[in-house]
Amino acid sequence: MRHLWWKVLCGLLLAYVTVFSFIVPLGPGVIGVDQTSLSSGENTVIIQSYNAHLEESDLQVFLGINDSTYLCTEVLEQVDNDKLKVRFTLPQDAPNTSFNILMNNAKDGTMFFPNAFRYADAAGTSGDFEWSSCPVSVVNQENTGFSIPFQPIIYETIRNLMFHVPMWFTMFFLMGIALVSSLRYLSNSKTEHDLRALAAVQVGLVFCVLGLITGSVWARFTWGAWWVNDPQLNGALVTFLIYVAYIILRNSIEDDQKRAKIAAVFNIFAFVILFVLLMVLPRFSESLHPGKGGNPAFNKYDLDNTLRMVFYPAVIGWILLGYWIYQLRLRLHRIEKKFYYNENV
Amino acid sequence: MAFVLLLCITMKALMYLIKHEFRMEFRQKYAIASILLFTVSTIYVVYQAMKKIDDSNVWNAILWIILLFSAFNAIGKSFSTEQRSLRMYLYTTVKPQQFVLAKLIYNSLFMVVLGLLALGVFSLFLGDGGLGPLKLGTYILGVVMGSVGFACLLTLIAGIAAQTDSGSGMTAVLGLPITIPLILIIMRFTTQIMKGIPFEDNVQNILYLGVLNVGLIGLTYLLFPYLWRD
Repeated sequence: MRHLWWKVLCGLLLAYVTVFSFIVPLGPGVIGVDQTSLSSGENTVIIQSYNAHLEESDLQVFLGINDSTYLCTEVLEQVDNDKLKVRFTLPQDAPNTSFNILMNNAKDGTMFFPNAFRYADAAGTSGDFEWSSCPVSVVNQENTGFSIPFQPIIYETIRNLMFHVPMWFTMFFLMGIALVSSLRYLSNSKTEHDLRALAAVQVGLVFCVLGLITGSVWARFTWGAWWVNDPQLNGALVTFLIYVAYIILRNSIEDDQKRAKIAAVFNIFAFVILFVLLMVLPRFSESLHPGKGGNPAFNKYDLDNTLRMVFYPAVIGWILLGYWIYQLRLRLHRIEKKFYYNENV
Repeated sequence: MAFVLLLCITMKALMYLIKHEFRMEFRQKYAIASILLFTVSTIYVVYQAMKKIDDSNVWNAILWIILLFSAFNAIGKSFSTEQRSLRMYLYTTVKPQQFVLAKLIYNSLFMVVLGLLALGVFSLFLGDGGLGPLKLGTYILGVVMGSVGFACLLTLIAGIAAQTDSGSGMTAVLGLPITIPLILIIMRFTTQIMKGIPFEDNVQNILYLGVLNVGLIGLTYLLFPYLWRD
């Protein structure tokens, strides 16, 4: 029973991750407005929020012009659960600019929605303009509830972080095992190492497919397409193709010894190419993918203790699960080998 | 002194092997002829389909597709044409590293010639795609480096494919996914030439390609001895 501790740990971690990532609510935020262009004089707009406590009495809404200038607005009424009607007045000679929305109450903290409106009037001045900034006094900037951080565009799909990203970590871990096994096979020609490489590639491919599927579903909801042309995605697909080629190569050689040796050579060659493709090439090309090309992944918004509490256990849990399946697969291969040898020899 | 002597012997063996490759190729003239026929007739098919290509991106893409498949065709055969008895003789006389270096050098030279020829015939039929004489020099550099890249990448793959039961048809299955990084770099280099971006801002791509090629040669040198003997 003692050697089973990591399997128990794996089950517990994954159960924790699944429960946690589906039960913890998304933090409050603003997701849109009913109109994007403003006119001078009085404007009445409806702000759409998500998971925010609009019914709080200390709710304040500001229009941010820059880091120090804010316009006051008058909260008229709560239209329904998520919608808020506000009114504000723009001066007649306001310059052309864009406005951010900042919403605050003591419970939710500050909710920020960048570039919500544009004021682009032909008569607008462009020089220095003195806005009559309103005094801002808020009780609390941070969200007090226990929640997953709210991110524009990504919204609820941020939960995919606990599933999509660890899939690739696990795949790399398994492909690493395959590489080491192939290297060891070339140095000592033990069948065991060949079986290890095979099992690791097979299980790694499963995680690769899961990574592609979770990524594709996520892309459909955030980018609007199942697949886009992006260095990160190309790399993922080529990884899949190369390891499928590895399996095809193995099946096309009859002789066991020869198959093991040639597959090991191909595996090492393929891994180096993959390294170039996944680690080197995306660094000097633009990408839409989070964490690449200046897109947020783990910057100050995400470096959130709530997310970390789930993300790190998720990575460990999925890697352990991958290793567990790999071990089962390896044992199956060993049994097959033994079975056939007993029969044939 | 002993080291220099050893180096001389190695170089001599290498030169001999390269000569041997050329001699083998010219003895089987039909092999070269079939590759040339493939390349030229593909270009002619594209010519019949499109007559003239004005869009420089399309011109570039089609040229590289033709070069890619010519490379598969040319290098995919490089291990399967040897006779068994000759291979047995080579096993006993030369080292696998020397053998594969000779193959790499021969394949690179062959691919460079084939690439330049394809570029020439392609521009003859389909126009220069807005390349012009000024950018031609850097584009030729791109074709040379790309051809060497194909040769470096596909030599080991062809060696692997020759060992399988399905023979050289396996080269395409194993090689196509693996060539994608190379294609990505070379396409970026050549499309930037087409856009007229100055060479100083584009040179890093050719450097990456050079580093990749050196890495591939090193890998082939290290791994080929394992494929050498059954």
